[in-house]
Amino acid sequence: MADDLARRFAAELSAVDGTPHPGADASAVALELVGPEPALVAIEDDPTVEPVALALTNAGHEVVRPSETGYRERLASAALGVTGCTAAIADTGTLMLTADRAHPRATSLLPRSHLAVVRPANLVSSLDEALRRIPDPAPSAVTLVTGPSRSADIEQILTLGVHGPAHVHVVLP
Amino acid sequence: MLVALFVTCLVDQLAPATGRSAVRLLEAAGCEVAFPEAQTCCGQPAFNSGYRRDALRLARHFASVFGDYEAIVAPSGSCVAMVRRYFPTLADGDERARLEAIGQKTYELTEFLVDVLGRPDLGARADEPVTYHPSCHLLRELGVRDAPRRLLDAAGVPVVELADAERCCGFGGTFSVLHPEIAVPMADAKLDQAMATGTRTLTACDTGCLLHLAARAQRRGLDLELRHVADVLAGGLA
Amino acid sequence: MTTADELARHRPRGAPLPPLRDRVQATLDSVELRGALGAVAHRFNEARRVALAEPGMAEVKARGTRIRADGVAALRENLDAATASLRQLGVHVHHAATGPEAARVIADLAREAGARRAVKSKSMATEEIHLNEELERRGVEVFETDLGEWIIQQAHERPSHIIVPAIHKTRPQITRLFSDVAGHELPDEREELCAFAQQRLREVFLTADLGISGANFVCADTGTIVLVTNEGNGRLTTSLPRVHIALVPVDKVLARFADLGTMLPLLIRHATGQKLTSYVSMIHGPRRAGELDGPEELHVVFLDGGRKALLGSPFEDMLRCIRCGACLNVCPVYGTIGGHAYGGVYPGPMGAVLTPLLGELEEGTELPGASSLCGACAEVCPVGIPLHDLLLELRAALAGRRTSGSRRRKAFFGLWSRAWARPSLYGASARVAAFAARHPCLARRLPVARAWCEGRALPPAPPEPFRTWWRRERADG
Repeated sequence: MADDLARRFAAELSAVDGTPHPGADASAVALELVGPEPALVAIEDDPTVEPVALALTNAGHEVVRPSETGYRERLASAALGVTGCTAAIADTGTLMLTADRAHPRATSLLPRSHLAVVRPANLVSSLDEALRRIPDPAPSAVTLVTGPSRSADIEQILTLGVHGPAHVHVVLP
Repeated sequence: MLVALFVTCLVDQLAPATGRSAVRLLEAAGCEVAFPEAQTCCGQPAFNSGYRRDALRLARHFASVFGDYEAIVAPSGSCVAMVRRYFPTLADGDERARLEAIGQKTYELTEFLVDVLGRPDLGARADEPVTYHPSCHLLRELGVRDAPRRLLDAAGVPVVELADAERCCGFGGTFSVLHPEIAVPMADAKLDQAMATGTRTLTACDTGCLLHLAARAQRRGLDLELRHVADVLAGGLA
Repeated sequence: MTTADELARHRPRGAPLPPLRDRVQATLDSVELRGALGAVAHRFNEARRVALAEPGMAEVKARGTRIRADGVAALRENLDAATASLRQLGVHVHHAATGPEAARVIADLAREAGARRAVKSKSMATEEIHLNEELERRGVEVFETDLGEWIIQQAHERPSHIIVPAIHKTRPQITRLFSDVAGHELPDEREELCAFAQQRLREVFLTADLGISGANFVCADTGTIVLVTNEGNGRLTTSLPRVHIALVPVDKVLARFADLGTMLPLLIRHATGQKLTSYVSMIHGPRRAGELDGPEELHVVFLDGGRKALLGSPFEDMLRCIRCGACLNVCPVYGTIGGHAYGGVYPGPMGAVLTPLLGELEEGTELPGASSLCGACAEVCPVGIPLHDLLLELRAALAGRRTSGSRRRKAFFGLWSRAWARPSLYGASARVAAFAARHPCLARRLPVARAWCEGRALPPAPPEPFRTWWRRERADG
């Protein structure tokens, strides 16, 4: 069941120019995305992405977390934002992100690339199911993210990464 | 079966041959055709211009002329749409019910032949290829999509697909004279698509659309004939 | 004579709008614009067709229609409930009866917040109330941040499509505009232009103290503000500045949060043909204690602007509209004349209905007549608005007005219908018409024939009417 959902999620995400990483190790994907040069990476305060933070730090990258001072200011210059998710919708390849003090809105928004880690329990089939998973009381911001930022305002031709991330990578179970 | 022909004012005065074709087709299908001579117009020009009381006057006249017939047939999707869809909106109570009942027994010609009589093959035969424009009211108000095609198919007429077929030709009744600056470019788009089919005949089931397109085609000097489906079919009857 | 460029520009307050005919001609004269219109319609129509061909979409459309129809029937109750839910979440709620009032309320809020620099995400409602003018008049710097909106803001123009505001701009035109902003020549390449806009606007986002958005929906039961976007500027607008103000027309309220499961896919598939847009933001009040981003202060300004007056009228169904733009994309008139020719904020079939209803334009009264009533708009509408029937309804309402034109037409149709309700007079007028048709020099003196002959030939006069043939050949006795 979870396998099937993950497969559908991966296919839908690819169709909207996102990059699925089925069965991959999140830390390995993150290391590959930032490359060998030391980089600044913003990572949520979330147990799901804790190993990623450790691996990047060990590899000599600079990691900034919401619990640290200056997160908001430094986020704008981060090369990569790493998040978990509240739900992942197989029908559309969509991540549902919910905001709180450990999960700021902008981690998945300001850096040029966004890496999300999906746990098996996050996978749902439909938008309706995902909406039912929103905690009560509802978080101040619930965001559905379906692939990278896109615009077709010039010549009706698609351009990725206008305002939001140009690259969305999703590690799937 | 006795059928009352509502020939419509446009066909009566500007395309009488189409009226004669409708009579021949109905007779070929085994109908007896009556032509109540007191008939005039469905009132659509007044209705579409917002003058509903004036339209009601003509709806009442229509009802008095055609009310007692079992079936009323017109070679125009648009006029039948006026009778079936919009007559009832003009009145209340008993009169509304009466107009509704008349609308339910008023049919567009190809719809009547195929969907009511179940006679797509009338024995007509023709082999000149044509393309077909589904006129808007026939298609969207009456939901008649297949009937004209089935009649043409049964007659062996090769129908070449028209690109963007369901896009309006720009006639729109009073629209075509109130806004020629919009209506004419719309006709051009339709005519360009028709020319691209490589056929020399564009058919439809509404004389208004055909007159508008023919007038534009003539002005542009296009080698394209605009023909009512009824004329194509009747021309192929033995 | 007006040109397409002049027509695109913001009209100064009180300046007369050129007649519809001139506006149309301006579009037709612009080859670039006609090309762009064709391309956008084709792209959107194809994408929508594919998206709607999926199984179950007819059911979604039926559900969406029901949700919106029920929502309109209970609009006042839903609005009250939404107000209460929003306040519960710590949102400041304001109600504005008119566009100017809404603009004033927002400008006052901006001043109270000490805002100097506002970023905006795309909102047709803010266009409707001419918000930018009001803010700039009050000393607030306003930046449109949707790429298309930013392009036309640089050109001092108006949107020509409710989803793709800058479809009328070509790449070379955009390159010129952006080069002026940059102060040096930019390469005439799409990626470069997008990157330039992104960088320039990113600096603005990081320094703006006010974010202004519209809303696609507001849910009455939960107080959720919903924004549907693709670029991410909507997220930035509602996440970074200290204050966020959302301008929400009262018809955007949904009764239930759970309705989003139907309404989001329905709106998005009809708008762009996507299954979901890149981003859907669902906002529940301002940032909470300890959170690092999101506005500290959140306001919702509900705009009536003539909408509640439509409740219970023959035009009530128009309040279902979810602004997907599908009716523009299928409309052969929009496809021919483009958005600016409509003269108002909302173009296409939905604009032709809404513009005169909201009383935005005195000239808007000519719009309902500029339709061939082909019904493609009503056919595509995701929430079942009978758009062409509403145009007919408007024509009837406008026919009752006492203008000189309508008085002439009224007299004509009064006489005509009385004559044609009598077979003898119908026959007589037909004979007159036939006589005229056989004498083209005479026919051309008739206004109707003159209009017909614009670009078209007069139809050849047939030898005899159908009824004469029938009487001779068929009539018994």
